[in-house]
Amino acid sequence: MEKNTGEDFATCPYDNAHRVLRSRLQLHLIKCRLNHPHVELQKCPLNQLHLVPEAEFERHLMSCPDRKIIAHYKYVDEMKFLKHDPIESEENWDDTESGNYNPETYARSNQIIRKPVGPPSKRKAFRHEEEERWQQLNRL
Amino acid sequence: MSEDQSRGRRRPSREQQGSGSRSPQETLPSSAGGGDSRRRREREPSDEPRPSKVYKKEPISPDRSSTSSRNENSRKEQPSTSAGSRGGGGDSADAGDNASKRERYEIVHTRPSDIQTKMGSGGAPVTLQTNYYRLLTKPTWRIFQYHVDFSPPIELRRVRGGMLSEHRATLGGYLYDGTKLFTSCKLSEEKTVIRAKSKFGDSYTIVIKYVGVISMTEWQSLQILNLILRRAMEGLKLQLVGRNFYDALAKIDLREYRLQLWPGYQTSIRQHEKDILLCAEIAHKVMRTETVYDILKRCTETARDFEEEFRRNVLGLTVLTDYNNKTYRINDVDFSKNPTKTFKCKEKEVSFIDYYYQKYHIRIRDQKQPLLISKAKDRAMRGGSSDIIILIPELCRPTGLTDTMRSNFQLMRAMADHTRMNPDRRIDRLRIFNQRLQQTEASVQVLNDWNMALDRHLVELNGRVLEPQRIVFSEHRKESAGVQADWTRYFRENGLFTTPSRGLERWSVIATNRNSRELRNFVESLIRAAGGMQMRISRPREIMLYDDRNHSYIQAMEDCSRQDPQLILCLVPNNNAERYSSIKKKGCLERAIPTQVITQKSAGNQRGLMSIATKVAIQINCKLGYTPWMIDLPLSGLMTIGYDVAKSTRDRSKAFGALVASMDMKTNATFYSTVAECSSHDVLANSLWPMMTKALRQYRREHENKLPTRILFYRDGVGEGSLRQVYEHEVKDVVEKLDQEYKRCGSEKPPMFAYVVVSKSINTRFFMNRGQNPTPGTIVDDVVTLPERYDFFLVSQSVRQGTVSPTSYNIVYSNIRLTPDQMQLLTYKMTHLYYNWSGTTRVPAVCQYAKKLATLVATSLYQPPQNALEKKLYYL
Repeated sequence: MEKNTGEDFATCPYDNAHRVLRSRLQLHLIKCRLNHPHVELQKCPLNQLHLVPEAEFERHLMSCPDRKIIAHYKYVDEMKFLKHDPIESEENWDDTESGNYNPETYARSNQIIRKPVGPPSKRKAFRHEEEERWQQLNRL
Repeated sequence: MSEDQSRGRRRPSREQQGSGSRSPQETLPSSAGGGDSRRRREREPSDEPRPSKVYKKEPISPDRSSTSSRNENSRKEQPSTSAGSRGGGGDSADAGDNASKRERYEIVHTRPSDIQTKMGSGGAPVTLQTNYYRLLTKPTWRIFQYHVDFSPPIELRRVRGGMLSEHRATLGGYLYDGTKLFTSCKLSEEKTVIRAKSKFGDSYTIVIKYVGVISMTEWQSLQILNLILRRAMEGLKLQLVGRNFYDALAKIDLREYRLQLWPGYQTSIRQHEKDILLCAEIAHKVMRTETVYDILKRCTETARDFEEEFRRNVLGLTVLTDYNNKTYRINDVDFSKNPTKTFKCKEKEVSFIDYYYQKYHIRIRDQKQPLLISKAKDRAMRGGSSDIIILIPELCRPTGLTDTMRSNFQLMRAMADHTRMNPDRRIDRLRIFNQRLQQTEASVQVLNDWNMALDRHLVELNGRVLEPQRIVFSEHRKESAGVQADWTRYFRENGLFTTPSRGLERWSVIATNRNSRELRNFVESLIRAAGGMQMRISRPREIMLYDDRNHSYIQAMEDCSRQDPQLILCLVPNNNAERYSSIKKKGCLERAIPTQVITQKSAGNQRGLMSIATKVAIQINCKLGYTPWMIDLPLSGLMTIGYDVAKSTRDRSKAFGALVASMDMKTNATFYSTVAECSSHDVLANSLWPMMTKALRQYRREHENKLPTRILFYRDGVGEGSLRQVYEHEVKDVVEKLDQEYKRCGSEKPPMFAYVVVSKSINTRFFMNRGQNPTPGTIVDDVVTLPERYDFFLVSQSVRQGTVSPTSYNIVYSNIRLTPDQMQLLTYKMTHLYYNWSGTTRVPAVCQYAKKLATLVATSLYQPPQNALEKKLYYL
């Protein structure tokens, strides 16, 4: 059960006026980052949601609540590691240098209905592009 | 080999490998680059495009090392790469040779050019059927979209639809989804205003505003197709619950459990690899017949403090209200109020009784019942509705299964009898669905109106069955896993891959006095079973308890742990979750000793004792950090990572993410695991990188300071809706940090990395021979895949009952430089390594481990375990 409402909201690090539901914060940041390209914030290496100004970064690093992820990691005892002889395999793929598959190339050159993404302005442009693309495809 | 070495330097990424003998050599252009490519050709029969090499003439400059230079002289400038220490004599000689030329050539490897297809070719072809139907024709004309506003607003979608349908004449053929209206011909005006009267005489204004044209080549057209289909399905007299249609008439009553099963259909029309297909899947909805009011009455009868008891039962439940078909979550109960209380509705004070009667024609019977309070969901709140919703217990039906129901074996079996369907039965049901849709007059009418025709037959497609993989046992003996991917029977002859050299020497068993006979029996079988697998287990230290209180077990464990045992085995009388939790907490949080819990029921099972003992022996071997079996992997320097999240059962705002990584399985058969607490608000992982750093650091420690060459990340637990965000939030971050980390460690090149999203809950099913499950290892990478993804389906497990569900793998990022064939085979191989099961699993083993670990922490430990355990599979 969710308790008080105080915890359900978070303030966006890019703009103090942005109060967003805590569960939407991740998605909000993805968008807000694009809208504030000039705001320079340091990303905490321990938690991507911690975006702090350069000046406070050092202090944040020392007091980050997620330090526990690595804090106890300092104390590791020496272990012996279990290794075995390499297992023989019929094949060896070590020097494979295959390219990546780019689905866009395929989708673009075939009669495929593509999904528009991005902000509304981009989606609009995409729709125009798509119209032309389909016309070209139909001509072929 | 020596010749190769003298020809040029190794590619940096390869230097991480232990065995120099097989490592491929990069050649300088001056010395026959063709030889190299010829060799590669031989190994790779498939006609993949080779990496394009760009030869650049470039004068020597000191800053060149910062670029991804591959020339041997540049290595001198590198501060202290791992490569530097390994420089062979051949290399330096070569370097001098080259330096004499004033100009030198540099090979700049651009990324290998993209491959043209995501289809593989390995394995035996097989014809499969799948639960999709082709759309033979679809509307081709343009469709006009309108926005519809009612004032005053009408809550019920059905009523809104009804109001509109009275104006059919003005609208022509139309589709309405609740807010949007689609018509096949344009209305005469941009903004049509209709004044209408409802059945009760209230007058409404309907404003229909023109939005735009949609051509059938746009994404939105798929939405229209889905709407048409839904309209057609309405003709089948199905009821809409949530998003899907269920057949209330064909419901199955499980009266003794107060449950109903409603059979139904999940349908969706999507753009697939080549065509637009309709996916149809048989689904069942569990409906509880009791209402929250029934729970209340039960509480008043049984409990002394019924208010408290009722709260305990009801808070957090999701309820369905029949009148508007919506679900709410109960956050509080207000015992001080009852339905006669009034509230403000349209400037008037109305009591709940009157309100429900006026709006829905429902009479509330008990006027003294308390009221339920629900906080609005995020989405509703953004839509501007009030944040507190008051509900009447009588009208709320709890949804889903409670934990007590879920643990009720008989209930679950009774349900499974109906919900679990063998492939032939499922095909039959799909056929009936199709027939109904194409024969019911009302449906046919809708489909014809919109020029939509469905195929009568399921889509057939070509899949491939990968060869059975070979399982490696002790002394590297290999056995084929067989067609059914089950290698239980090979343990006796072959023995476990690695076991502790001196066996399990120091260990303790704890049981109650009453179970001493079962305990001795079981330990006897355990030692015998382990002996059969060439694992030595010595006699344990026995501790007998007088009672089965949790405290006694904990006390005994504390006593044992003074002797630094390798393992503690607890025999418990039943599977009490609290006791299990305390034992695990003691073992994982306080003491870092692996624990094994076994119930009296399984230990006392006379007939199956030997097979249970075998399984436990394998588990114990894993918990000690050793490996029962391995697979042969054609890649070295590979790290596979699995990640999954589980929500904490105690504190709902917390969740635990677990990451499990393999450590170059060619020479090291152990797994590394780590857990981090995260917020249950977040769908995406925030702390992926610190966890990955830990895994990478462990890898370096175990492999003489080398980092993995290739990293394959399997991400479980993200839905389809957040794929893009996963890419933006997780993948980009990890890729960037990997680059930095590799640079920092002196590696010239970032690792070859791929990020694969694994989804298990998908609606796609495959059938072989018109009514059988496909065999394990079946790959489908065409027709039903999605065109805007690099994805494939893999059936890896084999099931005895019901229909097997394939797993979908979506490669959202890749520069791992493996062919689709290799990715598929590698994934299949990775499903062979889950040591709780001597067969293949549905997802790659690392994912299964991550899930298991996350669940253990979220349901029993509630905080990350001791890191002394992180190299052992203590969570099995």
